[in-house]
Amino acid sequence: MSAPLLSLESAGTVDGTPPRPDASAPADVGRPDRRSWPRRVVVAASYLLVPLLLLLIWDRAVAAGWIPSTLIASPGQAAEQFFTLLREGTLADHTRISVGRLLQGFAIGSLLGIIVGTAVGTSRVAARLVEPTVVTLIPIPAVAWVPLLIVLFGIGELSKVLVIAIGSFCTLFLHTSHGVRSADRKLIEVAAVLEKGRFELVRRVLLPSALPEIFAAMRIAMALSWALLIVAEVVASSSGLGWLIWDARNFSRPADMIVAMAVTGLLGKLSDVLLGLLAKRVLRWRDTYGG
Amino acid sequence: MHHETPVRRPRRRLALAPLAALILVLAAFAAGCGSSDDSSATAASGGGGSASAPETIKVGSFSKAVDYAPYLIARKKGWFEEEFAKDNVKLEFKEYDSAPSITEAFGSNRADFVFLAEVPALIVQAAKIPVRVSKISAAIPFTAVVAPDSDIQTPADFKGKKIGVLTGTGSHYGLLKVLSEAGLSPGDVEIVNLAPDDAKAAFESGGIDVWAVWPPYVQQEEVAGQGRIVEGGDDARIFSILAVRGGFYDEHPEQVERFHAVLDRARTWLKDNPDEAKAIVADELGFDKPIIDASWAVNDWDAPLDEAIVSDFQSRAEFLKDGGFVTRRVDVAEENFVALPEG
Repeated sequence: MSAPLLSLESAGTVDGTPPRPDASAPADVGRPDRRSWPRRVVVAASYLLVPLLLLLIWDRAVAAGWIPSTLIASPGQAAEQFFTLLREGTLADHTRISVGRLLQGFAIGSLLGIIVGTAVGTSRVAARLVEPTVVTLIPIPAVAWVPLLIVLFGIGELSKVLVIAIGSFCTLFLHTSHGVRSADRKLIEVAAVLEKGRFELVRRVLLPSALPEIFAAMRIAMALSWALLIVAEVVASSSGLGWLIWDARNFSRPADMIVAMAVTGLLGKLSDVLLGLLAKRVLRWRDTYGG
Repeated sequence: MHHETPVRRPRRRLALAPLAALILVLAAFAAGCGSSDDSSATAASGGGGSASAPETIKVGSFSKAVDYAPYLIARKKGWFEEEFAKDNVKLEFKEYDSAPSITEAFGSNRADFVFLAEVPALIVQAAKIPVRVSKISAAIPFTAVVAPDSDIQTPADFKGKKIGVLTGTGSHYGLLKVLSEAGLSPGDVEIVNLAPDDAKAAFESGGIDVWAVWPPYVQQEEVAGQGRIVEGGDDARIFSILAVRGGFYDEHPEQVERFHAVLDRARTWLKDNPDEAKAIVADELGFDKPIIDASWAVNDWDAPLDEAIVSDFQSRAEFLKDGGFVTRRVDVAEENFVALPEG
């Protein structure tokens, strides 16, 4: 029993490479007791260096007129406008709507992707039935579905949520089916020896061993979902951060545009961090449970 | 730099490098802040007035519209080239499909003359990119199209409906105007931003109840039996205009005059030869002739550029500012937004 479990453990860390570079970052900050405060200042400085450098270049470029200030706001103007929109409640409204669409689409797409991906990974029949069709549809950019979805489902929440769901589904489908298929053969043999049924095999062996890849795929799908959200909100919309970006550009309100872009970026980063933490937590639980 | 951090024993000299760099960046920020105000002003006012003819004149139009007829005809007939060949001036023609691309083109001197409606031109001006309205191609009523069996008869019936419109256009302004005249607020309807191609698909599949758009799109639905036209009143009229980049207008008054002369020639010609004119417009826009025939009568080709226009445009400028669409109130008279013909 211990040998397969060991290999499962190692699968957890080796396959978990995508989350690692980022996951190591909070770990440094998360152990302040081992460090003196000057050391922590240096660490903080190395995180802030690149963003601040970019801000500086941007600020100088606007101030010096290298880029037209009527079309691109300076960081200062954007910061000012951020607080104005925050006070007016506009920003909260658009953000709430966008996050709602994103979470619905992401949840539906990811869940379906995991279910269908697992089915295809475990069953040859399911693979024959579904895989050729899905794999042919995957290369079609989710954005290209927008006009079709508008005709089929009208202009409303559904078509926006579906665009995101399609993107998430494709990502999760590919990675889950791959993750399930690359499970360690020895583990399957152990399960067979222990006379576990197919459902047990999926639940106790195949899905857990595919989990690192599934989580990595969820982070990719989340990043893609933000991109698709903004596209979906630009085409036929009257609310959301994507709409705000488009509307601000349309009416030349450069500060609004930057604010909406920055909020999108920061929320995207936040969602990635949260998913990373969730992955860490879930995978750590697997290890302790197994041990 | 990132790989330094996980190392257990800190190599202090190297590890301090990001901190030093950060302090430098912050110092540069502090130094920059003091001088940031003066330089932005110089960026906007470009170039002194050289009287020589430009090498190329960059002409554009926004989307497709029947009211561009004088321009489309002159372009098709080669009258612009004919006029400007004398000075060896070349012409470039371009179709813009969104308002911001026009704003950006004017702002970066990549457009000299653009045919569009007064609202997008006001948006350009509000972005502190000077343009001059120097000509009116036509005045047209606000139009919207609804399904043939729709219960909507007048704009008052728009209440609670889903309305597709390309925001920032004359049709968008016209829509908000007819809504307010019918005692409705924008919150009483759902306005969805849609470019004509997307809106057409949405309208025909029932995704939107109303499509506020200009000719020939409304007539296209009507001729195909897919739509019925609802018209707005005089205050919601749309002006199809010629906007000239401010710098070009000031530097090349002679070229502007000659450009106008070509348009006047086309205007006279299209009134004398309506059938051939419609055929050219149909061809240039890529619409069937019957659709253009149906779109022709709504155009007032003789709408004058006069003082009344100045105050009309001013009320539109107020509307854009008050509605929170633009950040700046354009003073139409003060900023010479409308270039009234002399005499």
